[in-house]
Amino acid sequence: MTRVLLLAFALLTSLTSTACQWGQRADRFSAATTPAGTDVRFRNDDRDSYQRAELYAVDSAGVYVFDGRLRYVAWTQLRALEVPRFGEAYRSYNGLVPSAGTQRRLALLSRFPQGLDGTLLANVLQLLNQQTVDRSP
Amino acid sequence: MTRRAFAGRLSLAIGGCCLALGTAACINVFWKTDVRAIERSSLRPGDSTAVTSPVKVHLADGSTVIFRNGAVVTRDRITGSGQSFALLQSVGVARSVVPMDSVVGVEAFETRLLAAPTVLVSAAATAAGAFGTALLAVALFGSCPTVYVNTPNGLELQAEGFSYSVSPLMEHRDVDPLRVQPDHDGRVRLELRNEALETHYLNHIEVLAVRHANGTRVVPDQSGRPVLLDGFVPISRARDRAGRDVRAELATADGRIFASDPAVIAAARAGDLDDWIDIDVSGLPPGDSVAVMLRLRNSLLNTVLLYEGMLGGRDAIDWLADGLQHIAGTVELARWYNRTMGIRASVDGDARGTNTPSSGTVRMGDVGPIAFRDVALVLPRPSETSGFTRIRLRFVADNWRIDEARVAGKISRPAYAVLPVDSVVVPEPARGTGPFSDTAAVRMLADADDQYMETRPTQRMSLVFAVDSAALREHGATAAQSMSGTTYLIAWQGWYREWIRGAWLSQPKRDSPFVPGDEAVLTALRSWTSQKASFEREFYTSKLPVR
Repeated sequence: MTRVLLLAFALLTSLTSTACQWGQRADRFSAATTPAGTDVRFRNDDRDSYQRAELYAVDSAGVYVFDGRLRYVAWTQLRALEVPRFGEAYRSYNGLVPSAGTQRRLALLSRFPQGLDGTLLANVLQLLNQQTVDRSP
Repeated sequence: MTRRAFAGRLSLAIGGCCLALGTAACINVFWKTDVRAIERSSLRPGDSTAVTSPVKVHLADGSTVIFRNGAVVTRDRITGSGQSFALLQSVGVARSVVPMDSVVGVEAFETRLLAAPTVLVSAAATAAGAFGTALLAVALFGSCPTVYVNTPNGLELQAEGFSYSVSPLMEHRDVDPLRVQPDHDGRVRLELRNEALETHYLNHIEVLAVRHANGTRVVPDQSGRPVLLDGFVPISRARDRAGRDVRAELATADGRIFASDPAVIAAARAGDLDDWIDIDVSGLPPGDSVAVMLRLRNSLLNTVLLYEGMLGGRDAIDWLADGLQHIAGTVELARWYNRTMGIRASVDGDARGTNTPSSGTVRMGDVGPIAFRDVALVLPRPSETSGFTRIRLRFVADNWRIDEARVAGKISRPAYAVLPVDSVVVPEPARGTGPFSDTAAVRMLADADDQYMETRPTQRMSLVFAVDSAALREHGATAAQSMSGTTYLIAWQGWYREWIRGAWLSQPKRDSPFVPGDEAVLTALRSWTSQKASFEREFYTSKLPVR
């Protein structure tokens, strides 16, 4: 019987190793293996479609995102924001300020979980050749 | 039965099941990644925590140290095989120790296998995937969802959506005019198909209805917004880069089609890939804009570039999964693509005295190789009173097939009514008997949000849109006195995932990473030119039959 179980285990292990992979694995997640933050999809009050950007930082009033320009979008101006493949616990909706837990989870996936202000923000802007952070209208 | 005989039969049964799975199935494994902060305060002096998953350390100066294979964390330091990245840099240097006094935060990324969906979905996929394997193995046809319309001559292909949007970051909204009329019950019906080896992710579909007068046309402009065109004037001259008079090819939508001259294709080189057509018109009515209305589709050059270039190496799976999932890689690719591909139109002379020749140039992206699309490129006119204008259409040699070109001098933005999806009917669902009214699909297609309708190869469904006659009359009332008809346009948004063909991996077309640039286009152009007839035949005849 042990032989049977070993055979089954070996065959299933072999199949699983060539399987279709779904969801997010840490070793293939760029926010885990590079300095970058995760990509987020978000929709402003003034846009009909989703935009994508890298999540730079999160604070209690909104998010810093980078899509070629460093921008700050307030929670109240976001109709929706999500991290693809991370589910409900990483979403915000309808211009509502998300819970502290959601803010903390999003911050952990951002490029700067420690926050972006002061000298760090000035250095980032300088490297991006940007005078100020773009603010959503 | 003896214990030995039972064990033997069990071995055979399990072996048989596994073999069947291996030959016909897709085993689906579901993962979930969680990230947690490692608090220094939770570590006592002398304690150490070994983390075996990726660890990301944020330093006070904005730099980051990544320990991909994990690290040992103590109250004083973090040690492991790491890479240190300066602020906003993507190239790292080796680093094995990080003192805790320079650290502002530590994150650990941990992955869990989700057992229940892994078992359930793998079994379902195996059952569904066992059919049609031989057919799927040879299919070459690709490029996005297609829409068919019922006409007196049968179902007619009229649109293809968001071509070349091969990753979620490339999600795209298209607007395509349709030649469709409402049914006797006042509903517009379209058939949506997945005829390719692709998974389609459809975010939003709606129909726009525009009432307009006789002799005018309604088409999307280069940014996908409907425009009403009037004041058409004859083209007095149309010559391509080879010097050919191409007026006959462009005169009407008759299947006589413009394609680049072989000499221009042969002469293409890095830095000068383009062909062009110069169009002269006279007698334009006064106005500040001019529009070139084109009926066109792409050749298969783009498809060769995608299949043999971008997806043509053994790294294709990683490139689709990782390279295009991240904003930086996608932005780089998109910038190159926008610079190079598509079609550009420019008017001769400065744009109304701005003294900036580039302000008179507009661009439209590629539309795909399957269905001809009517579009307008709307340009500022050099002079509001001059009836003469010269327009240059410029594009990579052999990238386009153009059936018709017309020039209009009166351009306006029409009012339109929006018809949302009223119902989705699946004639032959994968489970149970049809037809099946899919209310979940209606919800998923209702808005450009985070809900997607996913379709697999060979699926088809009927989309029904309810026409609001009162709204249509209201929207048409201000446009003209004598409304003669309504043009319907499908507006749809989504992206698709190419299924990696076995041949792409077993016989790769390139060994080194794909590098966006003129050389990549030139390589695709040479390959496309050498196999044009056979590639077209195989492509257009290998559409998957739908059920």
